[in-house]
Amino acid sequence: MGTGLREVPGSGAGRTITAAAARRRRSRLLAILALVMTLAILFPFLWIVLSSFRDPQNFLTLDLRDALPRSLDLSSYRLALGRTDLFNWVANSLLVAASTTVLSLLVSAPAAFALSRLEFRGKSAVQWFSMISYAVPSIIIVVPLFLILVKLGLNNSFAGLILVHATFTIPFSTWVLRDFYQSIPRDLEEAGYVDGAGLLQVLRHIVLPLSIPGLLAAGAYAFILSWNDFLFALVIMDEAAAYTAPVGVHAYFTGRFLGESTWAQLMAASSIVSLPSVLLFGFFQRYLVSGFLSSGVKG
Amino acid sequence: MRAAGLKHSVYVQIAGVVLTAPAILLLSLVVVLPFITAAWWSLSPEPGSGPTLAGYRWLLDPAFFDAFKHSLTIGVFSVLLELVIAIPAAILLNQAIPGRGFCRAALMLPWAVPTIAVAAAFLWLANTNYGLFNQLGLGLGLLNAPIAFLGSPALALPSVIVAHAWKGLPLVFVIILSALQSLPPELMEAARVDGAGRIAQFTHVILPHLKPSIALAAVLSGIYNFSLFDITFLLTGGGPAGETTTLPLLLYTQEFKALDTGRAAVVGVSIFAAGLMALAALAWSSFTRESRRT
Amino acid sequence: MAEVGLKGVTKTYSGDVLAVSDLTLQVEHGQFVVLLGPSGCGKSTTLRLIAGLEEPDRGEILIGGEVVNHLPPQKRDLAMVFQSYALYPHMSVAQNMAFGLKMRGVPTAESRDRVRAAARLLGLDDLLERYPSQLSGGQKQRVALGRAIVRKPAVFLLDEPLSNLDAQLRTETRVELLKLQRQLNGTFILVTHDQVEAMMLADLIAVMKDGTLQQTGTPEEIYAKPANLFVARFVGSPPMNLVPGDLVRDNGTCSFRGEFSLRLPHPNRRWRIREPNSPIVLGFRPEAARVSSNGDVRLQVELVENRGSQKFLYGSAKGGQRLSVAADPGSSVRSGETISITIAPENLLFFDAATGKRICPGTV
Repeated sequence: MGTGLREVPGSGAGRTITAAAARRRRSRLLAILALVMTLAILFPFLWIVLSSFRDPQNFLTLDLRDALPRSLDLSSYRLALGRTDLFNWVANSLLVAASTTVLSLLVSAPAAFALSRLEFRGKSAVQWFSMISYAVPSIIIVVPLFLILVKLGLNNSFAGLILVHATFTIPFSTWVLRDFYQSIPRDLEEAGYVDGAGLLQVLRHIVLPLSIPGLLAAGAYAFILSWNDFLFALVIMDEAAAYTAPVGVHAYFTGRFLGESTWAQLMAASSIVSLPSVLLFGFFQRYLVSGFLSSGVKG
Repeated sequence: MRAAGLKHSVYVQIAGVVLTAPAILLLSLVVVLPFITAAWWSLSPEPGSGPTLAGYRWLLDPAFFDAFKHSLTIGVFSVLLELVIAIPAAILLNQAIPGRGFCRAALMLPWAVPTIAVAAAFLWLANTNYGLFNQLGLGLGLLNAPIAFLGSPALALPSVIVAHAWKGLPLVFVIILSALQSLPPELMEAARVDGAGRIAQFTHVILPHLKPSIALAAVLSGIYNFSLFDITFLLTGGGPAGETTTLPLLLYTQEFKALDTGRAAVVGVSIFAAGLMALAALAWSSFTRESRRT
Repeated sequence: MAEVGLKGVTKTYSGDVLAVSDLTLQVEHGQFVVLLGPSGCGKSTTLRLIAGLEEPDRGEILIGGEVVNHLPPQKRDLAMVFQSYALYPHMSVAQNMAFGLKMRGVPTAESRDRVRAAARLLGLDDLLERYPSQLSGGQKQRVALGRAIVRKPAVFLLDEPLSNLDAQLRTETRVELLKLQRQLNGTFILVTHDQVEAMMLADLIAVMKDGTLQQTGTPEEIYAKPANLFVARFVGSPPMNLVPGDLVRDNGTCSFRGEFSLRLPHPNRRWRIREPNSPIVLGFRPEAARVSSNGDVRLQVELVENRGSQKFLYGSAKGGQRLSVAADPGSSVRSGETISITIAPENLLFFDAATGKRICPGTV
């Protein structure tokens, strides 16, 4: 800029500083706005967690000042775990979700590898098949599926539920992993072959270590989906002892008179049931979000 | 055993089939076979009789019509609510501001919250006597008497819609945010140089760019909320007086209360067909948009 | 011994894309061979065929005299440097270099010694614990080379190994590469599209185009006696002057008639015309012409390129024919001037205009 001669010395620099300050102020203002908005949207969930720390004896109060817990009171949790079978249900859910995760990855990872690396006949048919399966709403198939499980002797069994949960994760997990494998340069695998590794060694030493983020995303997705499922667990599991956490909580509180301590228990139980999914999401959200983008979310 | 270099060899064909077979088998057993079974049931109202479309006459029944209306209302209005929140939120969180990553992740959280907890949260917030909504309304003098949000025929459906919108927000948010991220910054800069103000930038640059993504998000989320069972089941069970009985709930009651598997299957196939039509409409509109451009 | 041979090798991709067509090439042990050609000419596919990353549709590939068509890459005693370097991102430099040894069951202690020795040779001693993402482009390139040489393979394959380096580093690395090859006494096959690189490194250059071999020869042969118009155009900077025209016999002497005419007064050779008025293309390198006061062709100079050690004059002859001519660095010719040039007749080349092949009018 050739305007230096006409300018009062220093005024240019001064203007830049105020502009930068204004920009900083604006971005700080927007950040506060974003934070307020985020908290407002998260509020229903935060409200359960806050309520779970209230004093269960004075849970139902018409005084707004009592709406926030005065201290971290864990009595609601003690009640929830003591009066219900929640421990047992959570253990069931852990078993089901962990097994679902393993089975889902065992099935999805090889399929995804084939779809990303091999040119075989029927490849597009496989992709179409899994896309169409993904589009079928759960409610339509739950009853015939139950009858099929009965024929296989898998109704009211964890194995049956795990099979169903794992299958529902396959289309999404396969897409996420296929995209991931495609982001690994083929040169690396070829370098491995030239270096003297066979297919299995290339998979073990090169492909597997590089696909860990993808496996974490697909695994977290499978775990959360299985953990959160309500409909299939409700229909497939008959016995109270074999309920998963969401179904157990539902069964315990349905039809019960909701008095003070029951509400408190419900809040504590809901917080406990949410904890694994929310934590897992917190850890792996970066990987999960990129997966959502490539295929859309289905809860 | 080789992978490299044998692209068209028998080995690759076999490997492709072997590696994808478990996935295909499981999907066939758990999704496709049950779906075909349901479709078959919808065509055979009585065991032993041949396939007939007679079962579908029930679609004209007021019970079906009401349930369809409720599902459609939930589908449409929950998506509108999601868009109204997600678009400004995505635009805000597409700016370079501190704490952006945290806020983005936090807005995705409802996806991970179990439905049972979502239901508990809204049951508690909307509780007639002790819920926060009523307490705030009474405390601030906005209400004269507490409102039974989930118990009144007029307010039950809107309350259910809010819960659906909350759970479905992440899908819409993430689609729109990614569309915004693909907006070339030069385009915005060019608009600014051309003298467009903030509102003009939004209506003339951002919104046209977002349109296909908004359509995609709306259709996907709409289908999802249209055919979702558990939120409504847990919040109202279809009540009061059937005011929130959606198609999935109608299927459930036909199956487990009325024990009419044929009717339940008819409802199921209708849910799937409605979703398919919405997808076809989306595909058609994006197809015509493409052809208009060329 | 590690000679490499290709006999009538043909490779097509996905049914109909012909990548390499009926390629026959013999590489002797310890030779540095460069496959040269524009992108898409099949040179990289040829390298991948030798590596075993692709399988030929027809023909034979021999390493050390043995047919290896069906041997997978891990069973062939060779190493490859990829254009992208293909360093394993989850392994340190040392682990990257040791991977091939580990896969071949070399004991850990020996492997460590060999990695150290290779690292010393390439100046990588201080980088052994780093990861690829912490390296500069030149360092990555050296690690890729190191990964190849620790294995002491019989054959080294290099796919455009220098194309991702900046100009100065590329020149330095060429010298290093040449030293390395002499030191290891290995068979090197390098793919490049850069003719300067090929001229500098190769014992033998194989020029390819559209999947077919155009010519093999020493750099001197390729430069002085290109087999066809494609090679003539592709090698050399500025490129060879090519002038279409005819050879005409005239009172016992022979002359070239085209955009300009040129008498071919070579006393010891009988210029013969194959067919009357058969069209040919006359070719000569810019260095084959010099500025003279009373030359054969008048040239209107349009641009003077000063390369420091030499100048090149670009201009057009009477009929509009563009020509380039080398001049001394001290030459005072400026653009806009008209000069006359003399072309040394012994450096003239002739090509058949129809087939593009080089012909020797004296013997045909």
